[in-house]
Amino acid sequence: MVDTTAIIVVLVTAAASIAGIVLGIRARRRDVEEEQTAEKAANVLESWDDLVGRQAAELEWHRGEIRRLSGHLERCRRERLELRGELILATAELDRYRRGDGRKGSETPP
Amino acid sequence: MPRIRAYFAIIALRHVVIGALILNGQHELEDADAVAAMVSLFPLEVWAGAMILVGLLCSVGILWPRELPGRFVVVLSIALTTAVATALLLSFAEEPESTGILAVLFLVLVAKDFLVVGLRWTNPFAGVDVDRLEKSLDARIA
Repeated sequence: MVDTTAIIVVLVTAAASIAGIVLGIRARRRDVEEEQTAEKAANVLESWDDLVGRQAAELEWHRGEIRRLSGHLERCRRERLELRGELILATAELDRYRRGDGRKGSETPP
Repeated sequence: MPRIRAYFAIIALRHVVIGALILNGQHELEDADAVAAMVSLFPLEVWAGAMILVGLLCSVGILWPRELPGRFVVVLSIALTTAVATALLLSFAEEPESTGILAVLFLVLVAKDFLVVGLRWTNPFAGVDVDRLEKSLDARIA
């Protein structure tokens, strides 16, 4: 009875210990793999963060450029309007000159 | 690893208290049919001493929760609790009139130890500065 009991207890205990060790090793290995995956994911997130930062700076620069070009375009429009007005005045003056009631002393159209 | 510390505290208390109770009532226990197989293998003082020793080792894990030695201590707990549960089961098989409740309880304790030793103990995102990433993202959105 003693021998059988001892053998059974020893065998079951050894089997349980081995199972516990195997489970522990597998869990530890899984821990290490998950830590590495998390580290890689964090690196990817940080590189995306840097990229987003650079693109935000570029976007800001383009916005400034657009504001500068918009101001320039507005000035060009005003100049165009002024030139158009002058052109209308000159055309009217030319018409009057052709009809013979041009300004006195004027040989050439203005 | 606060949850693992809590589990170490539980198994340390379990082993030390059971060991102390065995030592306290060893004269009454020696004649009990439920522990006949345990007594036939080793004197009850040896079982109690082993339990108290494993309990003390578990209590080290509360103060110093390192993963590898911690898992080793849980495996020790599995080995000792399995030995006790098997001996109790054999006693029950030998003397079916004795109670089998103790064997069932010890087997449940072994199952709990197995469950914990197979679990993940650390947070894989512990090294990631999530707060900094979140603040950076908030600043971009704003």
